Amino acid sequence: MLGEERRRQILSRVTPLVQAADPEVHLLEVLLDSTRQQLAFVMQKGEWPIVVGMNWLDYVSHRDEELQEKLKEGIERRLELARQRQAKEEE
Amino acid sequence: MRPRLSLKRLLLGSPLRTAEIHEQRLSKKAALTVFASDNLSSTAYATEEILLVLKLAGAALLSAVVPIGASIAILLTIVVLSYGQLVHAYPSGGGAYTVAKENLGVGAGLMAAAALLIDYILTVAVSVAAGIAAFTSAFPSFFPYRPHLCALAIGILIVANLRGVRESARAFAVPVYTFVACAYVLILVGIYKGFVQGMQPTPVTVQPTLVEYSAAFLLIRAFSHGCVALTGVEAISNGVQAFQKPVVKNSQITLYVMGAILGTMFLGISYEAYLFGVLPKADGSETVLSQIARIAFGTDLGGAGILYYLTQFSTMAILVLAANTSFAGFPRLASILAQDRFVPRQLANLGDRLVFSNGIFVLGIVALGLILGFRGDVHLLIPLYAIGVFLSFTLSQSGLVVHWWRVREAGWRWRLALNALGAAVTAAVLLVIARMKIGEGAWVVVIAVPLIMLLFWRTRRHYFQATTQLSLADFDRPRVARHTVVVPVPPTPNKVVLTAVEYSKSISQDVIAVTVNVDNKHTEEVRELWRKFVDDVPLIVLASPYRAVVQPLLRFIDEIEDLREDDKLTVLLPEFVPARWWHNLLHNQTSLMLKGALLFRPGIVVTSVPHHLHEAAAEKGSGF
Repeated sequence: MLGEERRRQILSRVTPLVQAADPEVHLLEVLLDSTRQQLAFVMQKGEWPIVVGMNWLDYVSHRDEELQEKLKEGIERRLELARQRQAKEEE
Repeated sequence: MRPRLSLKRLLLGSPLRTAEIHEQRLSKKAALTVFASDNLSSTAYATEEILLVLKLAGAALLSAVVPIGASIAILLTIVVLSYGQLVHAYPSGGGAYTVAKENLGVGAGLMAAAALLIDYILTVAVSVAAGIAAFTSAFPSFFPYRPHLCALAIGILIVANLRGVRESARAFAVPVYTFVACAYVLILVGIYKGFVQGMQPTPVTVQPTLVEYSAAFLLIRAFSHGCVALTGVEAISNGVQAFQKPVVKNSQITLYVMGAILGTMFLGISYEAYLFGVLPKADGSETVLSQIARIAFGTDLGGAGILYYLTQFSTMAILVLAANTSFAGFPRLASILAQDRFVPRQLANLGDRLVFSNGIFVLGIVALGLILGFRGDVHLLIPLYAIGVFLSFTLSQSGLVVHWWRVREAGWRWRLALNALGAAVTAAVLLVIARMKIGEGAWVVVIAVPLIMLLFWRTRRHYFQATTQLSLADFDRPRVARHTVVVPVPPTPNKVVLTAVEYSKSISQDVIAVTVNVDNKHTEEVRELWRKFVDDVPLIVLASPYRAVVQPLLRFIDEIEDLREDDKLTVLLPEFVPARWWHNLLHNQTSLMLKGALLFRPGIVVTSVPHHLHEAAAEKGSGF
């Protein structure tokens, strides 16, 4: 689990990037796994929760523009999958 | 401490040890009541079925009742002797299904099985409905309660059979043997009057009502209607293993005795109907058997009339008990099909009284459904009858011909000849019955048989796929690299939730708690609880603009599941278990809904952490 200070730092860096990527998406939480190598950004757009994973090294080595691009890609991919799931559920 | 006597134990008796199965086997006398009641009860209406057709031609053809009865008795002899060979060749039971499957192919076996299962169900429905109709004829005030009485009769049959084969045989012995005794006394009276006193057949005057058909057509039709007398002959061959040792000899003797009793009773009653000039009444107010018994014994309760009432009551009893043959045959056949995976495998399980309890329940419930569906009308059900029986007769006899040709053991030639004769005769009768009854409703069976066969194949395919996928042949020990646990948290958390969180930490280092915000006040309480008690598990609060709880949780779980391929995901549900079952009605069943939805999501493990409430404890809050 992330320490409170580190958690706040990450959230304050990523929140504007997510807003820029898609203004309707809200960043809810950031998680770090027990290996301390993998981050997960928990977001929500309307009713849909979105979780985008990212390697810790990528997070620290990317510039903000690259990070935003990566988050945008992840959000779009997850939303597309969500749409497919919803279509399947409605069938 | 005094043992508690449950309702189940009171009704069904104490459980029996598996080792006691041999003690549950039937003597010949007991087996006759279990396996022959359907067969013997058909003498109560088979003659009437013949006369109903002959009457259409006026008085001219009525004397044919005796030769038609004799030809059916010859047919019965052939079928019984042929089935005696079946018992010899297949002592493990299974009857027509096993014989046809092993010698003619699986398709033929399943066709025989489908036909027999239909017939067993119809036997229960028809005989219970007929027995209750006889009762309500005597006591008309009960007429509106026929469905209830049918349900009661089926319930009694279910309980008696669930108690075990020996006990059901004991319970049903008196009515079966009383009926047989009454029928023989009745026949002896007829023989005395006809052959000793030289009584001449009573002339009958009846106007023909169906002149467009030829006499030959009506005779064949009357024969096909009378063949209903043969239903139930196959039951013994399905239940050979229910007999005491030596099973083959005992079941053959019982089969031959049953055939002899049926044949003589049927012939005797047909002869008496002719001798006394008895005809079916147009309004159905009195049966042919009742008229014969009334003429033979009179109705004077101070004299022989007592025998009339005894005959009527035992007839009613045996008609209801005819269903018992099906309760012996259906579960056994279903268990054999279940062993071959053509029906649910639960039907192969022996219950605690060493009977196939599930088969007994299934038969009772389906038959009751049929009775209620047809509103207990026997005449609507009877045309469906007999086709299935003769289809299975033909398939089993044909299968035996192939069997004897293959094994060529001592005496194979005469056995083959006998079964070939049986196959040819029953096939011919099958065609006649199908032609005569197709328009009367037998088409239902013609459609039902292939549908049931399809169901057999689908069931078998499922079991095959399940077995293949669960096989250890290509087993590679799975390596769980990572393990993430998601704990859904209800809006009103309590100690059950915190217990579950503590437990989840013991099985994984990656635990995520998730709650859905349907009410800001409750969500703030959850956050407060987390700040106070949980400092090492992140809490995700999902927004739910439409106040749905299950859907956002499921979507979040899907997202976590997709996060990594090498991750095993467990959803851990905090639950409390109320002290009384009905207390469940007072709580949300979100946990149950989540479990139901996650059941069909592959790769996700669902675990409950239960907290049992005591009666005295206040049920405050909820797990979910």
